[in-house]
Amino acid sequence: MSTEPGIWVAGILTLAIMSFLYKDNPFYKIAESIFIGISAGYWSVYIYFNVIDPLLIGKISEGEYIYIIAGVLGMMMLARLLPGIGWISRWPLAFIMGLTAGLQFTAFLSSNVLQQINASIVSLNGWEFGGVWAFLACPGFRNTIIFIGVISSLVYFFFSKEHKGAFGGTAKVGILFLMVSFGASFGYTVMARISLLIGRMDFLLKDWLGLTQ
Amino acid sequence: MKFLEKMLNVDRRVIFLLIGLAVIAPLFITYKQEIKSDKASKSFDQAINDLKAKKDAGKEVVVLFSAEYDPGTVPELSPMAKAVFMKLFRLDIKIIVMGLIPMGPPLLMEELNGLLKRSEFRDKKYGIDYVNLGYTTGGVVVIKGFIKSIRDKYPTDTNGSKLDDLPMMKTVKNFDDIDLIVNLSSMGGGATSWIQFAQKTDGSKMDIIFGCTAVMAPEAYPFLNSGQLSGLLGGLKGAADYETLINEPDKATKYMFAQSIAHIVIMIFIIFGNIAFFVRRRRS
Repeated sequence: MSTEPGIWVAGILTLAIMSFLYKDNPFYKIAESIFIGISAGYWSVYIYFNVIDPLLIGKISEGEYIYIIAGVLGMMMLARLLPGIGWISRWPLAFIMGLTAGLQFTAFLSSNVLQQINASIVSLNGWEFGGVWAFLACPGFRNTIIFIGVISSLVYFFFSKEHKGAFGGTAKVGILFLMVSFGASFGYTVMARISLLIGRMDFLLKDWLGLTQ
Repeated sequence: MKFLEKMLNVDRRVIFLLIGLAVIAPLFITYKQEIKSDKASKSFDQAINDLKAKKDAGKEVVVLFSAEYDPGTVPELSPMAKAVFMKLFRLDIKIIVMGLIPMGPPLLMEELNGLLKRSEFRDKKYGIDYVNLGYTTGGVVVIKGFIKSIRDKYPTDTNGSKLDDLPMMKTVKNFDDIDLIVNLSSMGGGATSWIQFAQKTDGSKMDIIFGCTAVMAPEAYPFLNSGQLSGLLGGLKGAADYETLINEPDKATKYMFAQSIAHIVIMIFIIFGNIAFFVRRRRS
């Protein structure tokens, strides 16, 4: 069993948070409040000493006066806290949105659209008929699945024509591919959450209680 | 039928309890589950192995290791960080640690400092074999700035030393001097910012390998498939894959047995729940 006070605090707070699984209770509320309070304090200090001080105050004091504009925009953001002049915060928000849209537009188009289209245009050659596994693993079969998946999923999202006949049938195949995609996402999400639970349990059993190796 | 009806009305706390037991019990058992590394993990390893050829050709090889994750995802991502550091140190590759969120670099340095206690890595020196630039604000603007100059965004390291005073940084000016980007992330969007904006001065794309939480993996695979990522580690399984590939089974490999047992329990619940649902629908 650990003799470090920090480990004990972390262990007890972990149990307090997990107690919410049974039902809402005062221990959970206390742990939640401690977390929010410490986070707010930690980030305030961290952001001041790592961002505002070196990258704003420091730059201005070195004579780079253009950073005054950034400082003013930052101050305008805080106007949200004052109901009467809250509209002022829309200006820096508009600046951020314009900057982000301008920066991201071509980059996003390239990485998420053009490159993905390029990767979806695949050769349907390269078939193997030497056995079931060889057939399933061959490039021809796999690329055909990609081809059918892309076309049928696109058809499903084409709403200008009624989903009937061959068009409707293709859209239904698209639904199957989408379901497989959602299933994969769900499976990965389960894996992620279980991983985090394992990490916490390992902390409780090994680092705190010393029951496992 | 009564059993199936009960399955549909089972108290969620019973499920929590069973999942808890399924996770706790395997941690007491020293069973070593066999891990078969997948293609994405192998390509992640290959991208690092490819650096060895450059090193053998006499070039100084530098890797930029950026972390965008926080303590909430440490069980998935820190085993990856540790394994990657081990691999890079063994190949004698120089490492620049940084992060676009505040908690990233400290978590990476925790793993790195842990490794420095091993006799194998005791000769690794700060400023010669690795540096820590820490966190800076700006996100994509930082990445875009690196095309021209790293110093514009990071005039100093976390200790306040000027980059030119650090021996390994003297020849590293911008992305042209970086051979590989390793990005570990739990943030929305993942490596997309690095993929979109990291490029050399001639416009050619940087080699990027990516480790992410399992939740993010399905969104990352299209970038691997389209060649925009050179390798991918997805979640705890990805971390276990990589530990296996470098022959250093550690936490991720240990956790995989508990992970597998928990998955089996969840699958049993899903199967019985669906059977019960369809039986009740048919009867009604």
